[in-house]
Amino acid sequence: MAQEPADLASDYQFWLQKLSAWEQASSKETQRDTCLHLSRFQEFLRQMYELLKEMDSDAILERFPSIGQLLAKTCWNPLILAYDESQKIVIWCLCCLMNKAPRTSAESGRNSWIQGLLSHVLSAFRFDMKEVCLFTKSLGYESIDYYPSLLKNMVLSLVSELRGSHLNGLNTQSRMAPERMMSLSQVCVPLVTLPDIEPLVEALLTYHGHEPQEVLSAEFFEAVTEAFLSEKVVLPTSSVVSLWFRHLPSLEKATLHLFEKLFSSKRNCLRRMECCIKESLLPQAACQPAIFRIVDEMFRFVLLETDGAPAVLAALQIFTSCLVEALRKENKQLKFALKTYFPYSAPCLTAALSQQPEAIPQGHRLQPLLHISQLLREAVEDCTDGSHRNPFESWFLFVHFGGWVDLAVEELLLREEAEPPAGLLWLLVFYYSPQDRSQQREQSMVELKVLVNRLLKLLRSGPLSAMDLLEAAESPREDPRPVCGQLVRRLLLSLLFWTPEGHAIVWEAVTHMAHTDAVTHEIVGFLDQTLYRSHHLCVEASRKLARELLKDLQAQV
Amino acid sequence: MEPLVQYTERFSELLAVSCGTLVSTWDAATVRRALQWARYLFHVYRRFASRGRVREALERRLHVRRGPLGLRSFAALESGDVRLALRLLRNRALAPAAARALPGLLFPGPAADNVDDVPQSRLVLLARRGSALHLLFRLGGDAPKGALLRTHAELLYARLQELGGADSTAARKLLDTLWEHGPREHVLSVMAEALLREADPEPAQAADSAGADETQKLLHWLLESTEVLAAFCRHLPAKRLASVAGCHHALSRAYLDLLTAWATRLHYDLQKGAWVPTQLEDMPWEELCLRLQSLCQAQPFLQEEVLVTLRSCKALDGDFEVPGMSIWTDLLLALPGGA
Repeated sequence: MAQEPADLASDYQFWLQKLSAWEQASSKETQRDTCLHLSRFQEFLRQMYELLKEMDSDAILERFPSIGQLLAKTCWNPLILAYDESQKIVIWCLCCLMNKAPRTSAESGRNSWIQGLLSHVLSAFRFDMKEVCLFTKSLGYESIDYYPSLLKNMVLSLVSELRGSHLNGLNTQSRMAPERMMSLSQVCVPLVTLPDIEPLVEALLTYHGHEPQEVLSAEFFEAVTEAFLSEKVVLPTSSVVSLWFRHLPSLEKATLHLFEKLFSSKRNCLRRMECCIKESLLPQAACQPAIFRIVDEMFRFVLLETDGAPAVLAALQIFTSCLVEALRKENKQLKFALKTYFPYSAPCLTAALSQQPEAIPQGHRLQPLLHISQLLREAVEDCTDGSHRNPFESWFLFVHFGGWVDLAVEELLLREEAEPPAGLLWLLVFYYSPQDRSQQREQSMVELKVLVNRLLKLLRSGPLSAMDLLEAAESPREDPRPVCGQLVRRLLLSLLFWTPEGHAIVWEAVTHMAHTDAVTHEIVGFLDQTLYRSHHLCVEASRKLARELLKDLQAQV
Repeated sequence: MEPLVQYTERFSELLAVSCGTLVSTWDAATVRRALQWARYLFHVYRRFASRGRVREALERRLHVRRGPLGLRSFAALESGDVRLALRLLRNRALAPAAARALPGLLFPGPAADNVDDVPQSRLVLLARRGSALHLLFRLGGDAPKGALLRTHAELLYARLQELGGADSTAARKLLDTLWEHGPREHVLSVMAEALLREADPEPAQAADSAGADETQKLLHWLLESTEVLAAFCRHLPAKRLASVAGCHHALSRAYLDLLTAWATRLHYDLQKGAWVPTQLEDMPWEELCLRLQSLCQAQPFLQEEVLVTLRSCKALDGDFEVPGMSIWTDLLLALPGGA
């Protein structure tokens, strides 16, 4: 609170100087500078209003002697009046300035002046054309009657001009000059959130000229991006895709905005994640390989920065499934090869992974899993020239298609054979510890096999107790390389939820497991995923149990 | 029903005086009461907008007692408060106490942001649209002119439609007033736009027979006045006239008659080897050719009509084949398919 007056005072002086420089906003540079500052100026106006509304007009004038000048310059700047909510806030500020009980002629004069400014703001369209006034007046119409239709028709005229320009292509007749398009896009910067202007915004975004350079202003793309991400405009997918193609920073912003939405929420819910991802239009846009590559690269960076955080992995998997769904809808005629989307991996591996695990009937799932495991192993461990040696690239591809890991765990725990298949062991160890060398991985596989056998033996030998299960999951001290903790917990939780024997003791076991916040979060994530995918044994009983436990654990964190 | 009609009439009267000098006796309570009336009528509009009988009854009463400054149609009930607000803000005669109270009544602040039966949001939207228009018009080019014509044509049709239920004399009076107040070239352009617009209606209007009535009123007025018709056919661009003529046969007939009448006022200058006007204001040969050519290019039936007319005139002139003897012969030579 102590800082506020000084900061606001210096802001005030800054904006007063800016407004003087912007007088009437007639030159190109002035317009551009105004557009660059519209958002911050609106925020300043909002702060001013919050201050003014608590003061009477005498106090206002004592503290801000030049407030009239500042508000007047604002009112005479059509770019500011056209922007978002600025015209509303400046009107509110003017109302605060009205003297409720004027005693002097100066105070009465100021009230009249305020009334005049309000009238000006509400009749902001005053053009020189004599025809406007005379004709509408003769018909008995006022601005409230013709502003909406005039604006609609103006937008239609400009859209027609653009469409004509677009269709004419390289013909010489009636092309809209690049300078005019630049000016038009600049003028649209404050207008993008006005619903009447939407057809024009769409026409500009989807206009495909023949100039080598971009003819629209960067400020226009940024304004549209900001409005779209804050949900102040609703645009068709084609317009948004066009925006992202023409202005890559807007695609990056959209992806970052999505990440912020997904990862800042304390209660991650996969269903909500799916909604966010679909609403972002990024999966639909990512049907274009160029866009997919950028979004995917951003996912890669986040995974590396967070060391494979579960929430990021979950988001990537949902994004990929949304993309696959969008591709299936869209690619009836034209299809890009999978290599175009995943250039760092062998095409046969990508093709195998992109099959839907859920579509494979039970009893036939082991073979595809072993096939994928073999392909991954060849890619990771073989050193022939035709392969891709970087294990991370193979792992990164693998984690796009998370359903396979669920399947691998399921096949491992529910099998009838005596020995777990080596391919499954390899796959799970690779998923959880991709950075391991071959020798380390072999050792981990041995430990994992021992663990799985121990757990299954326990499961089949009479009544199960939570403590016995948890003890069995702990590695003996003499083991040189314990199995990755996350994998152990996943196996335990899967047993607890997928088997009737596990249902009886799940509450007790989970209570003991959830000894840290990190592990609790992990368990919450597992439960959420269980609810999100619904193709497990004892489906209804498991879902009910998971839902109850999820509610309980979420209350703890 | 009757109380509702009285409410509407009283508000209409109040609205009519809101831009005059009587407001010098108003106080804050009067303004507040006026806005409450407007709010009530706003709700009336929302409730009865889709109920034909109540709407028709109110519309009839509004037309019978219609003054130039009051409410003009049922639809105006929706924006009575905005109209009142704009007039009062602009009116310097408003009493000081009322003027002081007015801004606060119109713009309560954030609390009224999502309330649609008070005028704040709609006034703010009006301000924003006005600024948007200012910015877009400032770009220049052809778009502003086209948008303006289109909008004025729509407004004209709306007004004619309102008068439709009353009597046809009112429509003629309105059009006469427009012509008298001008600017005339603009009025003619709007007429042309209106006639073209009706010929290419939007889907919602395609089934609307009312549009046809307005078109007929407009055509009748145009065709009945030799002065207006002559100005219409003389001052509008050839291509535009051809388009309008292509949509309305009575007009194409009248247009062609005028063109042939104007053609007879040219005589052949042997020294120049060209047809020249008799008087300064007569249409020159080039303009005449251009207009006839545009008609021929617009529609096949128009071309046929032009050629038939010119050929019959040529025959009456003696059916000469050499240039310089008959203007009809020379015009036919200048037209596609005329030889």
